[in-house]
Amino acid sequence: MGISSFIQSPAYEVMILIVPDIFQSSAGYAGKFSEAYQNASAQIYLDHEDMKEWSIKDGSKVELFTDFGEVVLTARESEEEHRGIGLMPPSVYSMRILSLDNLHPAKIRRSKGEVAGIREIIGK
Amino acid sequence: MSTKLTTTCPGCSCICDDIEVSVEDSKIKSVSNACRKGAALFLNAKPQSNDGIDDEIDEAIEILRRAKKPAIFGLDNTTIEAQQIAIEIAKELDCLIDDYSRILYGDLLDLVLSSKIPTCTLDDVRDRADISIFWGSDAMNSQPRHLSKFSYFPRGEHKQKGWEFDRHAVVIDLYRSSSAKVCSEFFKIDQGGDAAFMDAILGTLSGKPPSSKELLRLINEIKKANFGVIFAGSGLISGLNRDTEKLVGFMEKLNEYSEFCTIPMVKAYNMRGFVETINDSGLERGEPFPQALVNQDVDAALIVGADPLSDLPFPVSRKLREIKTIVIDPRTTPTTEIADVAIHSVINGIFGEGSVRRMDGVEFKLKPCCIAGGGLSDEAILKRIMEGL
Ligand code: SF4
Repeated sequence: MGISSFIQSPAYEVMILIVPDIFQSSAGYAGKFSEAYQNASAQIYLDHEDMKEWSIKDGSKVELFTDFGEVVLTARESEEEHRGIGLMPPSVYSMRILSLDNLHPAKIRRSKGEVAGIREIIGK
Repeated sequence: MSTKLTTTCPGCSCICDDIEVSVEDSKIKSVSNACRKGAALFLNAKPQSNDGIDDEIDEAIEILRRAKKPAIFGLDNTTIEAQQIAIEIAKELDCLIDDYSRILYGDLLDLVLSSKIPTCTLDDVRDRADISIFWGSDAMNSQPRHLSKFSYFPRGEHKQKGWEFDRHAVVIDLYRSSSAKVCSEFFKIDQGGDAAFMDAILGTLSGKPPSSKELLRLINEIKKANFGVIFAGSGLISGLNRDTEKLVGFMEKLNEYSEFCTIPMVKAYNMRGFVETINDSGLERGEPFPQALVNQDVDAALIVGADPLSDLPFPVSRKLREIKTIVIDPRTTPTTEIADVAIHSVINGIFGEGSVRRMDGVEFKLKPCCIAGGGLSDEAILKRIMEGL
């Protein structure tokens, strides 16, 4: 095991905004434990420039954390410019790290982890 | 043999009543006219069975009987008839009853219902609106047919040229949403910048120099309009720090220039119905449910048609694990999975019936388009709980 595996990637500040996503809500009707719903939920849309600056690639895994918890998600490159803001749909993944405010400050870093299943997140 | 029917969709607060389904052996084989979300709702609908339902209802009654501080929550995704029975249960148990409306929209719906903020119907919008302003709301993702049925694309009685010449649609939001991509204009504001943007609009209307060409264009459209509508989303309410008085004042001033109304862009298909039903009942809702959970003022929750584990922050929803939880929902959700008792009801509008209110308050009837076979509606389950209590 190389020393690099003990060094964590740097963390950056990002504000999380919960936004509706028709693909995620439609997948929810096929089942909230379905793979399609889980994949559509466990992702965060990031600004192109932010991703470049933070060396995060589209489709790679990131860890998002706050005082309330952390989750591993798939990073997606947003088509739109929203520097410093990460867009997430409402789901157990986004709710896991949120406080009661609307725009939620969080930290993000590259991750080698795996996205946990919804049952794992809810402890069932 | 398949049967073709026209039915009404309970997928969101647009309550589209032009959905065509083809049904074979109580299964929906195809759907037309619905958006992606509505189509997914119909095509994935499954009937319920009656297995174990009597025991589940008995267990729910027992939990509620034993509870010292029960609460009822959800109810935005069920019929008015079910909401009325839930209110009766709340009276019987003398407990708090709440939905998501205060969490997401503060007192916006009450302001609209009490006419402190002028409102109109979506049919008025389709027939007359010159300008639609989506403020902190993304219809394309939440109410997907809103723009095509009512607010931007359709021809209406006095709007025969539709979006190309007759209508202007504007999005004001923190990010360029899907709605912003299709509307005529987009204004990006910073978090908490909603009140300042209202001031900028009113200032420019009263003759102050505009801060940008885009703002000047918006002001010209507002001045030109005979009738305009603000579709207020939860983003606007949180951007105003829940200070809805600011919106009341803004609407008053805007109406000095031309007729302007507000329609709350509620997402759940019968949130409007719940707010009207509870207001009509005269029952006080009590402490907001999330607050009551955090303050440990609830020891048993009856949740109807809601999935708080997926839409309330973890510091709140984790409290549900510390109390007794009963969930009535047609589908399996993270919240049904952690519930002490999960009762699966039939889907209203597919296997069950009842009345609902569209986002503008117009009442619609949901009728079944498939034969249920088994299972009970939310209304029937709540009625049995009420009788048991
Ligand atoms: S817009 Fe809403 S009501 Fe209409 S089909 Fe889509 S989900 Fe159903």
